[in-house]
Amino acid sequence: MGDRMPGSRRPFDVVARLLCALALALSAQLIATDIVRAGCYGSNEGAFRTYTGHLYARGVRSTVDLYAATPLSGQSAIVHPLQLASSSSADFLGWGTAKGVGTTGGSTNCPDDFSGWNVYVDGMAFGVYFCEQTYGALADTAQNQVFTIVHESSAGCAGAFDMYLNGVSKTCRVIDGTNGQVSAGAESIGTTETQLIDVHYESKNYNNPSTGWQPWGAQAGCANAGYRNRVLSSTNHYSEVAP
Amino acid sequence: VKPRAQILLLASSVALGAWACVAENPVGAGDVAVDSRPPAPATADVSGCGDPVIPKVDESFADPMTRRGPTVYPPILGPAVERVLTVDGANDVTFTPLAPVAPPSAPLQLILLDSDGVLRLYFGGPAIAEGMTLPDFVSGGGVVVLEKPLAGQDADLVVTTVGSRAGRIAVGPHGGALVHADPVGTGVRTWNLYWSDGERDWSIIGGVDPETVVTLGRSLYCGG
Repeated sequence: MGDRMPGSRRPFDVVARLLCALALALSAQLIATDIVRAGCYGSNEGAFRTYTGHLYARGVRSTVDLYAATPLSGQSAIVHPLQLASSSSADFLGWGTAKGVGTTGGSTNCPDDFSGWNVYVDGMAFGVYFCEQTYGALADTAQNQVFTIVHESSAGCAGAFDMYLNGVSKTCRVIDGTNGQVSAGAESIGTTETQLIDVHYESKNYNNPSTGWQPWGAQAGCANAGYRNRVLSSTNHYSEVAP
Repeated sequence: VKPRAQILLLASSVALGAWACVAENPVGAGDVAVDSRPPAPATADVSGCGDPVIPKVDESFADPMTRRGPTVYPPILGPAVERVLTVDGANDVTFTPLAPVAPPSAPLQLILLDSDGVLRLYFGGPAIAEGMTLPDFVSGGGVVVLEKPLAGQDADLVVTTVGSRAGRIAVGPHGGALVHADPVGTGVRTWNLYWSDGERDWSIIGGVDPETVVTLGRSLYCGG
């Protein structure tokens, strides 16, 4: 009694194998989840695109680290925007940094400047595009820069969107709408897309109309708040969850 | 609540006749060259009803090839929508919308209510499907009317914001601002009309001629 036939399994072995299988499955699930996280903002979206979380919000905020960028002479621009596109009209707001070719025509004050990351605001207000980059510049190595767009119902910017840089209000803007789809990322404008962009997002948040500021990553399986955009060439670009 | 929907539909039907009278001498889409028009006499549109005389506006605009901006626009049927109210199925309407009179060529096809109280009425254009954006819609000749909670977005604010890109024109008893918008999406330039009636702020964004846009706004107050 108590002897086992060769090849037979003790109850403990069975439990151990089950635990092992469970652990392997869990690991696979975690890896898959990480892939999903990386892809929830578009795994092939490089610096010439913006991430569109399709989040409905009254504002967007991100903390970023900037790195050197090399816009090509004459026909390229590099932009690191926060954007809020109205849900009901074609109006939008952009707030971030740019270097390279500016914008032309209409009511714009965004001239060419290849020297550094210019802080700019642009948008479409009541159907008319505007662009200004009169808010200074940031160093290529600037760290933990916080850009915020938020619609204010009271205080200094009542009824308008308040644009903050590192907690300081820089300008108030009105568009046709009080909320919209928020997005963030990096993009380039021009006939080539070979610029080097390296922008590291430390965090992203959106201002939920009913519950206030929320971590962007908490939506749709995107649980990690760190994101990174990099373009190495026109054919080699990727986005990834930052380590 | 059903009677309200019926009233809405009835009002639309009755107003169709009024539209036909107002639009006795319609101007075809695409045949408007605002720059070539003589400046409108200051008193031409003082009543805010009848055939609109389109004000002269600054036609300069930003080069869409160089400007920054969204690479994608939010879908019409996006997360902001609280309720979708088809014209035939508007029996769960809990508000009393003021419905402009639909042009015969652009029937009312969809009503959306956003969670922040904005009412959107879509006239004409392509059938609105999942993923369709506003630029897609207006590129096909669609017109959207936005009826919004009062937030001070009146004609004065628009003129202050965009300057000579806006022209003043009366919308019934209210002052309006008409803008020939910059290109969006595939390059369509909409005519946008903004005004406030003291209870709500209004916008009309149309991929049609300005006369149609203004007449649509005026149908709320005229022809009754």
